[in-house]
Amino acid sequence: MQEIVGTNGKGVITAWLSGYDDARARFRIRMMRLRQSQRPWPKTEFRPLGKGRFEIKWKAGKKEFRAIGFERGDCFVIVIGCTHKQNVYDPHDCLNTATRRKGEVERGERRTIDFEP
Amino acid sequence: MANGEQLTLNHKERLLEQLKNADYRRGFIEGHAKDTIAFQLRTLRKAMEWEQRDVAERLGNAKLQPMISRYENPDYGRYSISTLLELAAVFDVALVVRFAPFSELVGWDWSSDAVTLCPASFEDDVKLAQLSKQIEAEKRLAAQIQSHIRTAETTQNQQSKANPQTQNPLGEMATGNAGSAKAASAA
Repeated sequence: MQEIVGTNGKGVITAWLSGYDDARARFRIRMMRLRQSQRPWPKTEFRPLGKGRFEIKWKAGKKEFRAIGFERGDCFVIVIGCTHKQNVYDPHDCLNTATRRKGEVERGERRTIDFEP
Repeated sequence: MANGEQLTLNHKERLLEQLKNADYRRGFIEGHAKDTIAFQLRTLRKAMEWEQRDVAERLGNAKLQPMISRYENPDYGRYSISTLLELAAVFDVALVVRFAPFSELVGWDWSSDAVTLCPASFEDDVKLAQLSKQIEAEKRLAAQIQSHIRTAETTQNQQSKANPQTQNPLGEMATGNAGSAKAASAA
């Protein structure tokens, strides 16, 4: 799994999750279990969003979290992290941001690094 | 950490560092408890080529299908131990619910792989058969040791009877000790 690098040179998702310790731990185990289970993964945990984008869904405490990204070979590249409440994403424009960043990575304009929650 | 790939030392070190944070520890326990049960139930069911309804029927009521669906959702987490016990019986696997030190959970996390999600049923549990063979081997070894001890004792007894003065070093030691004790007492 990889994440995009921000303007400060650090992983965008690592920085976002640093404020949610329990969510980071839950995400680590969710990813581990998904990797260990056969594809296709259930939509309750891994949902296609169109335009080649997918979201990994998980819950920590009372908050619902989403890691949005795309598949590049065997690797899932996360381009943005967000929370989700009553069908509303926070930040609300995260799907558009995901599309833009996906394009940037595919054109080689954005660097990606290994990500381990 | 790709599928089947071993955790690197850096990842392990990082996990130990992160576990110093109480919120991270809480998420770590929750994740292992909730995700593991949900993914195991789903994997076990698929290995049997059952639908959720089939599991519900085996629990005795096909109307329990929505409950199976909830139990397979790793974000649900409101499991009842009695239902988990019933599900363990359906799949003929063991259920372990207990408090444990973090070191144990971390060790389990590091050794966890795809097989963890689909534990063998009692019938297919190869390790159980190995344990049975191990016990048989240990019993045979214990019997051999007992037999050797008996043979040695018999030989010693026969030798003692043939020549009690020279063939019994314990007796000599006892005499020697007694003599030393008398000497010490006299002094």
